Amino acid sequence: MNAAAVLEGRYRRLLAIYPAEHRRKHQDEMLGVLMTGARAGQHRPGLADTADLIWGALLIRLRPARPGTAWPLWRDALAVVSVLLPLMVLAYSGLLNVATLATLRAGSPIFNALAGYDAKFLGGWAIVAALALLRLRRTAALAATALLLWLVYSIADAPNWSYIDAPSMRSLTVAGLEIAALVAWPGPRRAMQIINWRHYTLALAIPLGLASVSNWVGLADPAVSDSIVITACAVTLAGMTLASPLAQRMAAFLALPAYYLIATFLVPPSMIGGPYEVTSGWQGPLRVMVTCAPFAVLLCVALVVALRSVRHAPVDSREA
Amino acid sequence: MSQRPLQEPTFLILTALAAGTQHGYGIMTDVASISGGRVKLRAGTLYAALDRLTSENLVEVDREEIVDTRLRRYYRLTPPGAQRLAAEVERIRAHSAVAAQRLDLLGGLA
Repeated sequence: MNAAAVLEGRYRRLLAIYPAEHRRKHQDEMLGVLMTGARAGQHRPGLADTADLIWGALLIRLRPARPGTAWPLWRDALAVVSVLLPLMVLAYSGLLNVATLATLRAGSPIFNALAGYDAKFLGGWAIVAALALLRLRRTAALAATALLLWLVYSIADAPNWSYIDAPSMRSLTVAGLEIAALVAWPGPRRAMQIINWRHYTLALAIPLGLASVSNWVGLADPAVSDSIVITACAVTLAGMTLASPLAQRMAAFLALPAYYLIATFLVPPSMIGGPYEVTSGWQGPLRVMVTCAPFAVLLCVALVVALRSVRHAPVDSREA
Repeated sequence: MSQRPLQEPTFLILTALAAGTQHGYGIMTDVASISGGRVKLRAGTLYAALDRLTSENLVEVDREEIVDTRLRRYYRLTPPGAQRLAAEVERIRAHSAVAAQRLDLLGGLA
């Protein structure tokens, strides 16, 4: 294969980061421009061109969607999340929590405390899951809101707010995401038209697999189980971004809870407070950074999107 | 209503197209020439800008050609695009006039 063909193949792979609609309209044209500007014998995209293509893709993706283009897919993704997310939480937390209880002596104070918490947590999610599966969108949203309020209360009630750690942040963001998914139109009713048995299987199998690794492999070698969980999360998200436009958007929604799941295993518990170090209190700037960084990033993205929306709004709507 | 100033790459793309229809690579080389080599547009930035300008009806596709098996799409300035560019030129001219006037008051231009 000659250098030009190799270079063109690499440019094509790079252009895959653009939205499908943009590729359909401009890919051949952009390839023509990129290849015309290439040096003789060049077989690898230059650093400046690569950075510029990534920047261009970012600009296009952050641009407000035109009516009738990308928004329905985002709504569909949110609808699917509203039904699958409670099932994923139940599978992951259910297995882990039951396995943890099994290691404790029944009737001991810590067993009773944990069992009480788990019953409320898993019971709450089971109600949300059932209501979502029954397509009772508003009722499910109310139940999810009650669950979120209870989670916030649990955190606020802990000494020194010591529950503000990666696992708690994961619980909060998952509950928040579920509320958003249920409140956003069209919700579970639409999800049922999209979801098939493979979606249910994956939504249960992946969390169950992660919980199993985290528990049983972790008992033998925590470092190995942590690495497997982190890799599995990253591979799952990457796989979703390649699978389909709908899965890609679901991955975007699930990225925040996945971040906190990874953070739980990535940063030593002594630094941010792991699952069983709930009374460790604040552990310095790293803990604050790990827990708050995603919200800072989200805030920045929201600001950029809002500014671009205002900037690109039609003149009439800006004057209104 | 006063419009937001155009960003420099956008201004230069519209300026390049004010001379007539051009394809993507032609716009890139023309922009480099207009700016004395200071602004070098690359494909990512150029097509993000062209996509936006097309959606805002400031630029439109004139025709397509196949050259050496590659698609070449030519763009042209629309009447609203020409008006927008003219308004921007007027804005810059007005600012420049004020700046020059005040520099004169300071003791003349160097």
